[in-house]
Amino acid sequence: MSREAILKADDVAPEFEALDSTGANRRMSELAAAGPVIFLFYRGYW
Amino acid sequence: MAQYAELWKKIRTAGANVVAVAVDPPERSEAVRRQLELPFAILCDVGRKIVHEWGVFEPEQMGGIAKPAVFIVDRTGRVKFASVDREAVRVPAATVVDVLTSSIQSNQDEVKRRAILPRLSDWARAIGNMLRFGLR
Repeated sequence: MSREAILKADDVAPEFEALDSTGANRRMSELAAAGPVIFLFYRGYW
Repeated sequence: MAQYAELWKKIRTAGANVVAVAVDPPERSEAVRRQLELPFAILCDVGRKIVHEWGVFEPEQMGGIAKPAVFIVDRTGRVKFASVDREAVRVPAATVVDVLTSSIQSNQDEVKRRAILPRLSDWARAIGNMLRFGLR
């Protein structure tokens, strides 16, 4: 598998659409439009 | 993530939000969200699309998961801060919130990391979830 570039400061975050844990549809652009967003990627257990 | 829940008031006062992302299915993430009483959403990147596009896919563990990482994205969609961390060495939540509330672009290299060993309660919850949902 090719190694993907890690997003870094000054990059534009790629748009995405995904369901949250309650089943609501979320878009990156809509989340960010309301103000800065801290995105936390985590591996599930903690 | 619990750290961000503790800093929630400060984050909201700054006009910001928190969104967690995991590759887990919704029922599993919802269980974690309730257990930790998280005031923010957990996105379910079951197809690994977001982790691939943001460059934080970790293929060598548990069938492919997210690397522990934190990004601050401003309202134009631009990344203001990025930190991809090793498992036991995460950038502290308080540091991330300090970056958020200061207008200065932080020098990535100067962000101090400290080792955070999972707390006993985290282990207990992890084991409980494993029993409940099975290992991936």
